[in-house]
Amino acid sequence: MSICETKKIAMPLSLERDSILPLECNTLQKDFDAYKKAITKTIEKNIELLKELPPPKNFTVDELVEYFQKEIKKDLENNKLFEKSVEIGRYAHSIFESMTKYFANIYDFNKEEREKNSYDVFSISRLFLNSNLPDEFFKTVSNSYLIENDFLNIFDRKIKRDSIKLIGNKNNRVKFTRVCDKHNLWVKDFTDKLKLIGKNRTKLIWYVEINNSNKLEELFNPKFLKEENLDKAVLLKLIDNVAETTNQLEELVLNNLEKKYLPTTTIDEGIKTITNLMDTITG
Amino acid sequence: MSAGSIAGFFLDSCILMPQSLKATRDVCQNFLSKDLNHFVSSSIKTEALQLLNNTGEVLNTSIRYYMKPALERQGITSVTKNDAITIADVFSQEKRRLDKECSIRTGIRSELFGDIENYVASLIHELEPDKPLSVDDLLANTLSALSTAKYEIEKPFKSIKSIFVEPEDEMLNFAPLCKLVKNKSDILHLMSAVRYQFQQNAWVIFVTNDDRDILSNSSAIWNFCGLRCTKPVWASDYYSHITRFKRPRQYFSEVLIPATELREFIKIIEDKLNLQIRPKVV
Repeated sequence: MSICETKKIAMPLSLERDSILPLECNTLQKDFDAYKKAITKTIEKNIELLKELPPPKNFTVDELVEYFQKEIKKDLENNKLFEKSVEIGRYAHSIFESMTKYFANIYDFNKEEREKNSYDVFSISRLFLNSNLPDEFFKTVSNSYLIENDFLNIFDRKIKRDSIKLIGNKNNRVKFTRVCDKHNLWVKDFTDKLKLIGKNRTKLIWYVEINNSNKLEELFNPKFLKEENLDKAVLLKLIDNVAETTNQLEELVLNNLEKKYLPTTTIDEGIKTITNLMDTITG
Repeated sequence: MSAGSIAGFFLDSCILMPQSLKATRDVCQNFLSKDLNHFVSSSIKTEALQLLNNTGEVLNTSIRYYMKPALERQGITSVTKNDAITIADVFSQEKRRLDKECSIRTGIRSELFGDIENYVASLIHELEPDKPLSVDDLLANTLSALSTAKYEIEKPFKSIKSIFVEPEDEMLNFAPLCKLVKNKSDILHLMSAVRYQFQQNAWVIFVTNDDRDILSNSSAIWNFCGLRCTKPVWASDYYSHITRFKRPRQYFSEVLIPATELREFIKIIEDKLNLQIRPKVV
């Protein structure tokens, strides 16, 4: 997901994580247009999502498409994490040659992704704070970001293990390819779900934003978001879609845990407050 | 008898909750880290997740509909550490207002509001004296940090194996137990464990830190219902002890049962689970 830096409110985009693309043994592309191509592809995919939404009340579809194309482009060009993901994606594509570079970057990148997801939870909190949207909206969207962090933790653990196997087989192309194939098999289940979450979440937030803006300039800028401006059935359906795909990813995450989650040992102010609240409610 | 006659440990929700006391936390972590059969009944899982959900809703309502308007009414748009006393006054007034209003109408009690106020205070205390933070950012920070904390608390309940058990009304209304354990939810959780124990014919150990309602009555619960309850620190000792027993149905068919309560309870189990445990008296 991406935040439009020029805006005060999160402008989510549906991004495919190039960094967790399948590991392939192709030749390293000296394609300096890869970044530009990735931008074009991302814009196209996001415009497709925009067109899947119910027709907006205050704008024509053409107006919106033109505006979004421009804004998404601007956003992606300012998005360092997106640029880095394209770079790592190129290393993944040519893992046999670029293994060192891939592993030198992937862990830091995932760390930044986790921080970004946490920031997205903050952004959605700010949006929810200035709205009368249902609790389910906030809970569903924030959980969809937090589960991605759990996935990234699993990915880090597995890729660390795979890296040892890849290094051990760097002189045996057949075995090396076999390790890649095995890695790609488990990662595919996750990426399919992640893509769906990204798409559904983007559609939900865009639907809320578009139907709460009277002018294009108001999109993704601070304002009070009213549930009354939305078709309740459409809103609930869009929330359900995010919840359903998040639950699917959660199931995969739970099935891929090495051991079950233990109660958190970080007893910070947040944990204390929630447990106090629970006691007060039951008391 | 082999350890195969033990189904495992039914955990009370308190075992999966974060513990503020280090000693209790270490004991729970140590117990849960062991490669043993830990599970929760569906009633515990549902109750815990429902409670967390309600907590989330209270939290959102409190911040969005009470804290934010209260600060806005006072014309406060940004805060620094130096504004702590002003903010404290705003919250104090708002709590008085909430106390006057009926809690059913507002949907929120002032002590819940107070719990969240403590978190906001901790954030304000961390601010640098001359670096203001907008009220929106302060409250959005609170919302996001608390919903992340809630998510973390939910995790163990979601990842642990849950067993669907639905004890019958006759079990839930078993008078001798109801006299001992006042909390109806606790009776449901205990009876879920007992029902599973007899249905599977494998011993279950109920692990809890609840001294007041459960552990203080652990001998009586064993004598009346045949269920072992323990703190996590003694769980493995109970496990070793119980491996020496025959399976539950055989054990209770052979052992002399002095307590009429247990005889009565086994009768209920036999009726409801369609089992024959005690030899028929001809």
